[in-house]
Amino acid sequence: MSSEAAGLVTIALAGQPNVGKSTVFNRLTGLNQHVGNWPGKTVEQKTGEMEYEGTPIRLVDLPGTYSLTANSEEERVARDFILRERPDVVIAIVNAAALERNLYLLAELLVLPRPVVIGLNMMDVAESQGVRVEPEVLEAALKVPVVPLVASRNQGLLPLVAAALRVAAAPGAFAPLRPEIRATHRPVLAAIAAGLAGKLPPLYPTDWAALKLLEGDAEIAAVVRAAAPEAWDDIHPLLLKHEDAYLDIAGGRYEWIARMVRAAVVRPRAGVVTITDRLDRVATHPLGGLALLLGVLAAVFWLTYAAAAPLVSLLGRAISGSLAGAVRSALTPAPSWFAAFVVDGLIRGAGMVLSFLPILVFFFALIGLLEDVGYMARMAYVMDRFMHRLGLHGKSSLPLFLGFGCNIPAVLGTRIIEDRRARLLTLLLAPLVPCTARLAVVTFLAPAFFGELATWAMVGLVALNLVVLVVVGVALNKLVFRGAKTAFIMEMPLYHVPNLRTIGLFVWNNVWAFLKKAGSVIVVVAAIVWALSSWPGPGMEHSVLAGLGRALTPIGAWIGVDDWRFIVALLTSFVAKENTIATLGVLFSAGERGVGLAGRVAAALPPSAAFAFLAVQMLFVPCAATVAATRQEAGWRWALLSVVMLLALSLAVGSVTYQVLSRM
Amino acid sequence: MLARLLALIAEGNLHTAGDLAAALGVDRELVEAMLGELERQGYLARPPSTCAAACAGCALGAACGRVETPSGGVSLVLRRGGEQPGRGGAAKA
Repeated sequence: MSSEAAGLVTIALAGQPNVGKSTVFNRLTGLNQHVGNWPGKTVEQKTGEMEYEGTPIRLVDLPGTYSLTANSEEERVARDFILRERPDVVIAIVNAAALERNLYLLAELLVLPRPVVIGLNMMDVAESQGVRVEPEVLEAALKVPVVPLVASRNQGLLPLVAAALRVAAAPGAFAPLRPEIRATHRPVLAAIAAGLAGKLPPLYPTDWAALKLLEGDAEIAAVVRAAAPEAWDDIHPLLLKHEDAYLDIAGGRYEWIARMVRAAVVRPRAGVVTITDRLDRVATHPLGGLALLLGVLAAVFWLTYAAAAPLVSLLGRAISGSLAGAVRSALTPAPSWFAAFVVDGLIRGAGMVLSFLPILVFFFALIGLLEDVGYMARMAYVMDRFMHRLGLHGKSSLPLFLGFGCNIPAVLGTRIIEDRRARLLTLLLAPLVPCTARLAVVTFLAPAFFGELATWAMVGLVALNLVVLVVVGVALNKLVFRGAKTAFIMEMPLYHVPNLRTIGLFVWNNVWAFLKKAGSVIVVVAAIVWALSSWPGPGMEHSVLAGLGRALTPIGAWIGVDDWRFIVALLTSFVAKENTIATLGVLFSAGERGVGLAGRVAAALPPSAAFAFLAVQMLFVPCAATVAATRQEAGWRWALLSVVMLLALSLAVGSVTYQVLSRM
Repeated sequence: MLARLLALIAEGNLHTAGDLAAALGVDRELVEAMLGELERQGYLARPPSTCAAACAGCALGAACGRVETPSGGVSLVLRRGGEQPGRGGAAKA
C-alpha cells in the first residue's frame, strides 16, 4: 500500500461529471472534508476521512472527467493523482442509465496500475427508464468488482467501501479484462514500449506511456523527450507514421464497451423509444417520409386557410369597413388630407396587415404543434435527404437549411464555408430559400386569388421555389464545390404528447414579433406609400407612385401583371416582405366601399398572372435586413449582385410560369 | 469502430445517431457516446454560435439550425473532411 500511515487506506473516487460522485463522497465522509485546490491548479480538491470496521480511510474526490488523455486540467489532475499518489484502490462511479458514455473512462482507468472497483450508481434512474443493468453479469464480463448503488438514497455505499477494501488488500489478484488495441497497431505499440523500457521515470508505467504516445498525448511526449531523448528520436518517426492510431485505440475501447453493454444491459422493447422508432420508420423513410412531409405541409396550408379565412375576411371587413368608416366620421372636422392619410394610409394599409393575425395564429399554432410533438426535426431531416438525392449536398447545405426559418441566419451561416468563392456563391443562393414571412404573404393572398384551390396553389408555389433552389444549388455544387462535402449530425427528439402551454407561448412569441414589426416598419412604409400615392394628384392615378408603377408595367407585362399597383406592392416588399399586403391595402382601398381587399385584389388579375405574381413574390429581391446581412458578410458589391441576380431570376421564373399557365 | 463512424459521417449529408447506429450495427447510445468523444477530440464541432444567435428569434429555428435545442436541430458539424485540429500532438511535439 502507498498510504502515508500504516493501516490508512487511500481510495480515489473517479467518474464523469454528473454521475453522482460528489454525492457518494459527501455521504461517506459527512463533515470530515477538506476543500482546497490541487497544488498549482485552479481545480478544486476535496479529501475526506472515514472509517469502516476499524480501517481508517482517506477518500479523495478526483475531478469529474470524460477520459484521462490530458485534454483538460481536470484530466491531468485526475491521472497525475493516480500515477503519483498511487491510491490503494480507485472507485469508478458510473451512471447505470448511461453505461455507454461512462465506461470509456473506466477503459482508461483499467490501463493504469491501480486496482479498480465499480460503483454502479443511479440504478433507480436506469430502472425508471426501463433499462435493466445486471451488476453480476457486468462484473463477470469485466472481471472487476461491481457494486450497485443509489447514492442519493444512501443505498449500496457501505458494500462499495467493503468491496474497495477487499480489492485494496489483495491488489495482486486484480486482473481485469482490458480493452485491446486493434491488430493493425499492436506491433507499433510493442515497438514503442520496447523503445521506452527502463528509460522513463518509475512514475510512468511503460505500457501505459507507450499507449498514450500512440494516442497523441502531448504531455507524455514531452516527458519522454526530456527523460529519454535517444528513445524519442527512434519513436518519433513511428508516431508520425501512425498519426491515425488514436481512432484505432479509442475505437477498440468502444468495441470493448459495446461487448460489455451487450452482456449486461437489457433495454426496453416497448414504450416511448419503440413508439418513436416505429413512427420514424415512416416519418424518415426516403419516400414515405417525403410523401408524409408533403401531406403535412398541404394539411398545414389547408387547415390555416380553412380555419383562418373566415376570420381574415371578417377582420378585413371590420378594419377597412367599420373601423375605417368610424374613423372617417370622427375625423370629419379634420383636414381632408389628414383623414385620408389615417383611413387609407394607416388603417387600410398597415391595418390590413393586422388581418393577417388569424393566419399567423393558426399557422404558428400548427407549426408549434408539429415542433412540440417532435415532427419538425424529421421534416428538416427528410428535406435535407431529398436535397441530397438531387445532388444538393455540398457545403452550402447547412446554411441553406437555416434559411427556411429566416434568410438572415442562412447568410450568417455561410461563415462555416472556408473557401471564399464557395461562400460568396452560397450567399447568393441563401435568399432563394422560402422564409416564413414570404410564406405568410402567400398564405394571405393565395385564398384571395384561388379560393378553394388555394392549398394546391400554395403547395405548387413552395414546390416551384424549391425546384429553383435545387437547380441553382446543383449547378453551384457542380461548378464551384466540385464534390467537396460537409456533414452534420442532428438530434432527433422523442415524439411526445404536445403541451398546450408550450404551443401557446410559441404562437404568442411569433405573433408579438409580427405585431412589433407591423407597428414600426410596416406603418412607416404604408405611410410613405400613401403619401407617394396621393402626391401631387389629383387622385392616385396622377401620383408619383402611379408614375413609377406605370413606368415599370412593361416589365410587369412579362408576368402578365399590367396593374401598376401590384408592381409597387412587390417593390415595397424589399423593406419587409409583409409590406406587400400593406401596400395592396393602401392602393386597393382608396375610396372603395363595401368590397373586401381580397375581392378587389382577386378581380384585378387573371389566375395565371396571379400565380406568376406570387411566384415572383417568393423569389423576389431579399428583404432589406437580409441584404444588410449580406453586405456585412461580403460587402456592398456582393449585396448588390444578390439583389440584381434575384431580381432577374424571379422575373425569369415568373415570366416562364405565366407563359406556361396562360397557354393551359 | 470510431474510424468507421468517422468515415460514415465524412460521406457527407445530414445524419442522426439512429442512422449511424443502424449502419454500424450498434446501439444508438453507443453512437452518441462516440460522437461525444469525437467532439471532445475536435473531429466534430458545434455550429458557429452566430447561427444560434441568428436563429434565436426565428419561428422555425428548432426545425433547422438552432443549436442546443431540446426538440432537435443541428448539433454537430464535421470539421474539414474529418480532420482533427491538434491530433498527433505527440508526433508533432
